[in-house]
Amino acid sequence: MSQAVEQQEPGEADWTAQARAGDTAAFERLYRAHAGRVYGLCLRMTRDSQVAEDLTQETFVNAWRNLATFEGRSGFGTWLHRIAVNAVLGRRRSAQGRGEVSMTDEEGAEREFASAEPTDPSTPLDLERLIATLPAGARDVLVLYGVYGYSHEEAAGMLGVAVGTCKAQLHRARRLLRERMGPEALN
Amino acid sequence: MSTIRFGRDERERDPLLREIGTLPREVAPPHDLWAGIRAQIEREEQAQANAVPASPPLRAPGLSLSWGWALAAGVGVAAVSVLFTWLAVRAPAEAPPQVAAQQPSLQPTPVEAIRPVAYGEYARLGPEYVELRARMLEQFKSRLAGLSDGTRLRIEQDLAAIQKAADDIDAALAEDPASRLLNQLLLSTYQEELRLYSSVAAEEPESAGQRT
Repeated sequence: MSQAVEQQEPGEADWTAQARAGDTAAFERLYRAHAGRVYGLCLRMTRDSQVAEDLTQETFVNAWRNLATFEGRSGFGTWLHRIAVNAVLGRRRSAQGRGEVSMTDEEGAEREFASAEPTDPSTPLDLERLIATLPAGARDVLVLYGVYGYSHEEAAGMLGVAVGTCKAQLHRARRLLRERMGPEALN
Repeated sequence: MSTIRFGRDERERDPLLREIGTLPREVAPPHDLWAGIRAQIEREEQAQANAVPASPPLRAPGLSLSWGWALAAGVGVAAVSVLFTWLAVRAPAEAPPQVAAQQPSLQPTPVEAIRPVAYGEYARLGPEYVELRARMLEQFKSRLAGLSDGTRLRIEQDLAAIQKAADDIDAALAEDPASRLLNQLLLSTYQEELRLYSSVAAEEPESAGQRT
């Protein structure tokens, strides 16, 4: 069951309709209302503030281009998040295509995770750092499911994986976090 | 392989997930990105506006219009639009492109051999559009070189679909050069071509520094 609470601003439906008619001022209001959530998602998935800024910009430009396809069946924020996740995954595929060190190099990321400096997960900042060191597949699911409250079905749909894979990645993320944090943490 | 099952309320039951759920969903970007977004939107709108410098002459709804041609051309453009909607907001880990799956030996066209869409005699391409298209084509080619064969084949299919739509519309315009509908459909193909270049170029990580 989704816990992704759609934080819809008053008048958002009107802004969306106005933006679809070509009103950039209305689209700016949508940007102001949603930029933080989109950037937060991109930042957590990419771990790079510069890349997250680029992807946030790309998300809103793609949203503008495709406003005509937004039918309002999901909230505007959820629709934006789908575009943002696609942008992040597209960026990763591009990096892989050029043979650069991949953000989805799961084995390497798991090694990186194991060798990371100890942190105190009881503080949100350190919990964020700990999540950032997770392998990409596990981190993506944990961010969408745990932080943004999407259901497994929704997260799997956004990431283009099976629901079972999504659950397995969440299981892996929790296991890795608990290993890193020790048996005493958050119990 | 074991099946992992979680209850509906695992986020409430698991202290770790509960803690993660308290993290802020909003993180303010270090910079206001709106100016860059608006600039890119305006550039694209301007490019589309410049694609046809003068409106085609209007006439009474085409008594002589070949609706068969118009319908075919319209369907072509609609199909292209659907393709690009899919390209811009595509499912992240979709199956490999059909063409690559069915013809694994198929190789993409060398980047230097990629040509822009060739428009027929009824095209009204303004100089600004032509200049912008040339710039975007260069960025597109630069980006294309780094993509996998499967993705390149898929993009080539998209480009071919635009070419086919442009050819169909051109053929229809030969029967009714003043048709407003056909001229609008032709304008759509200019836009779709730029949108393809832009969509592909936007994935270029090196474009990070070009953010406006």
